[in-house]
Amino acid sequence: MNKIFTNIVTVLSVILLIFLYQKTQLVDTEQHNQVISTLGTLKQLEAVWINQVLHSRLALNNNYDAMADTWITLETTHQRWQDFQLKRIYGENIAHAEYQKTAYLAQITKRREYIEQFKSVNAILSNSVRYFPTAVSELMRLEDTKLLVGDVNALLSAVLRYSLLPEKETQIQKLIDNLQEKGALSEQDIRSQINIIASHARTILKYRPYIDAILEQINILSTAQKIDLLTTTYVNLQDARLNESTPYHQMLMVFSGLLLLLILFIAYRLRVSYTALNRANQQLKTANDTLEQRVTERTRILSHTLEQLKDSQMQLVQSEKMASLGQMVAGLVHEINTPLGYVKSNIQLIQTIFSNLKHVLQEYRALIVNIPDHISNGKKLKTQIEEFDELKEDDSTGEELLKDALYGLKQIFELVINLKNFSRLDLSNISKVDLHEGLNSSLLIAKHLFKNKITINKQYGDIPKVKCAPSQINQVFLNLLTNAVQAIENKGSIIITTRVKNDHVLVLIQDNGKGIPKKVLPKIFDPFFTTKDIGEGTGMGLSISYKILQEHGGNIEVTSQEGKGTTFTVSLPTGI
Amino acid sequence: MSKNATILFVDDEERILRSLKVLFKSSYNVHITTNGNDALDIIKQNTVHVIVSDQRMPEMLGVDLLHQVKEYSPNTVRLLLTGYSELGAIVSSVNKGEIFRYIKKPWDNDNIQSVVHQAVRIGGELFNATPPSVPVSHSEKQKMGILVIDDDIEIYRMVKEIAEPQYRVTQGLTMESAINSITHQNDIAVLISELSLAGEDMSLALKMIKQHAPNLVILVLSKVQDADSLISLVNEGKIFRFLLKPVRKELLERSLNSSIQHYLSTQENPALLACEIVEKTQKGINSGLFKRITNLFS
Ligand SMILES: Nc1ncnc2c1ncn2[C@@H]1O[C@H](COP(=O)(O)OP(=O)(O)OP(=O)(O)O)[C@@H](O)[C@H]1O
Ligand SMILES: [Mg+2]
Repeated sequence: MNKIFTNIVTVLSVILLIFLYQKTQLVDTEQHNQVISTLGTLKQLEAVWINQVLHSRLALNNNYDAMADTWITLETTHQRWQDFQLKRIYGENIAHAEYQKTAYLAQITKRREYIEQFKSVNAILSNSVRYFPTAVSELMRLEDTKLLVGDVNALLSAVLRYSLLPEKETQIQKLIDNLQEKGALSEQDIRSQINIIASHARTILKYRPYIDAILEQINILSTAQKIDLLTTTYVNLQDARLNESTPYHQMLMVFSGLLLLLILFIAYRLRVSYTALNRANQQLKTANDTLEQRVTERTRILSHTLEQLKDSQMQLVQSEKMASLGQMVAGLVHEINTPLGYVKSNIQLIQTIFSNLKHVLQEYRALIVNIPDHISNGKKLKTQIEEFDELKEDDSTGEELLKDALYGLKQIFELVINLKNFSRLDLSNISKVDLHEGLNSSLLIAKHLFKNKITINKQYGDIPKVKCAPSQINQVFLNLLTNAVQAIENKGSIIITTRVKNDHVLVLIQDNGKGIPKKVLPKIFDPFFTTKDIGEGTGMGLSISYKILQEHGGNIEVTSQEGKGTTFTVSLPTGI
Repeated sequence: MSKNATILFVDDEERILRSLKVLFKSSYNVHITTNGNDALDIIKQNTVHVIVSDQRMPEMLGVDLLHQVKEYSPNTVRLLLTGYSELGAIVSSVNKGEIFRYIKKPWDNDNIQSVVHQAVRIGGELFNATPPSVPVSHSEKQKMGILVIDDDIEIYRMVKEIAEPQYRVTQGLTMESAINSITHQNDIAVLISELSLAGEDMSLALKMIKQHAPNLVILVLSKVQDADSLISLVNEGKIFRFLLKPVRKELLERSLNSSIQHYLSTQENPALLACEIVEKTQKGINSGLFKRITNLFS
């Protein structure tokens, strides 16, 4: 919308500008000035020319060269003037000027005609004026002209005066006639000479006034005024044109000014937007940079979160496992303890009954001695009591058997206690725990794995109780023991060592199994890393153990030699 | 032994019941049932001096049964006999059932017999004791004291908010100062105690305090403990309530009120104190701690 508006304004501005420019271009001042100066030249030239013409009348030698030159210049100037495209310079309204021009040209033509006349007349006249005195002096040189001297001289002076001021024409006519009369009686050569003189005199008389008339005409036909008029007309025309274009001029000025302002404004705006753009660019750049930074930051956080997620997933798996194990153990312990309860109670009861019975038997024996064999099956009774005594002599009599039964029950009960201790879900998260107890429980749980192939070598040191979550630590022990058992292919041994090192308790579980290849070693703590067959290992054992120890502020380390065996070292801080 | 006493065994395993019946039938009238509701009927219809119940039973949990027994027949001495000690079960057997003893399966016959005999004797005393005709009014009595054995200032403040100004609340920050307060201030009625104080285990001290002053009502306020130590606190310390930290104020207030109520009822009817008898501690009797505490009392 805005864009369209701007475009329209731009186009309109350009059109207006062109329009105004054309309007102001109407006034061609240079051409006008040329016209005016041409007219001035013309005026000047004509004045010069006229002067030359007039001068030529007085000149004794009839040389017209200078005049001719001026004329040629005049002609070319005329031509130049003609060549001006007056309509273009002054517009269509030049009828009056054209009229004046035509009048001027006509006048000039006329004048030229007169000048031509003047030239021819003047030629004749000057010729006579020049030869008249010569003719007179030739006459005087002839013989027998003394009589004529007076007349001739009178005529000479009269004609010469006339040539300067044409007056007293008739008197000169008389003087001519008089001379001719007087000469008529003279010799032939005198007569002809007198005729020549007369002819010259008459020519002068005839043409001298004529020349003046022509000059008069030439003067009358002076073009100076006409040129002035034309000049005025042209100047007026020019003024009119100027007047006509002035508002456009002003408008152009104003418009140009406005445009200039607009351009300045746009320039300012451009500058401003450029700065803004620059700033925006800068900001964008920094934003870009920070964005990148943020992206990396985010990525870092995300991967950290992923790490945590994996961890907590692992822990979840672990705690799930432990919880279900705990529940199972709880149920199992209860289920076992119930029959254990009454079996134990019953055996104890039977023990009591048995000893009571023994007591009764003793009484009987004492009594029966006195009873004769024949009285009421006395013999049979005696034999029965003796048989019972024989039974009593034996080590494996009833009492012993009952004792063994109780011993067996105690063993079962201990196993159950160990099972419970192993899961230790009844224990608070962190408490001071005897690690040997945990190791023993774990060994008991793993006992079925050892079968006959593995011997256990306990090298327990004197270690303090350790603050830990026993169910988790026991889980670690069981994992390590299971791995050790699985690493031993045929027969082997596992050495369990405990000792204190600085402020840590160390538990070393060492097997002489197949060992871990160097290539595999860095990966064993990774979740889900296993070299075991599907179903045999999930690869979680060590990663969970690692995690558990990390949470306890402890550590787990491994050293292994392929083919020789592996040692895992668990270390736990002894705590405060 | 008089055959006047009546005892009731509840367990979902009949063989358990049979065995126990054989063990006790010569001494007492023995009732047995596998069903909690039947047990309640028996309680209602007879004067039962002692009830021994299993915890895990399909129809009714032992704790709930004992809780109801306490309502119907408060003089019946309540024992729990269980094969697996869940923490939650023990806590509610203390708080809801207010049991006398906790017996683990498998039991030892001599042991169970002595415990039950003791319980029967106490039950007999309780049933025979006549409540005082004129109850002692509180105002006549000296202002009772509550001792908070906890270095957690928040707990101390909470107790003060609840109990002051009606009761005098003091704080024991060490085992020594706590025992000192108990031996020198004869107005203390209730102990509110944490189990670990300044890094020391208070269990043994509490057991010995109870032995020394059976009328003190002990309210334990602590983090999660293991089941075994809790059981020993019941059997050897006769703790009245066990509350898990963090504790809500309302719960603490309710427990404190019950404790004071319990204290008052033993004051009014000293026969009830028979129930406060504890088993002698076996564990740690040779430790330095034991000697230290013994010295504090002498
Ligand atoms: N004592 C050992 N001797 C030889 N190799 C071992 C030993 N302990 C662990 N390993 C190697 O480390 C791998 C990872 O052990 P981890 O306990 O994490 O998983 P797993 O035993 O394969 O499976 P799971 O323990 O989940 O059943 C094992 O697959 C095995 O290759
Ligand atoms: Mg493994």
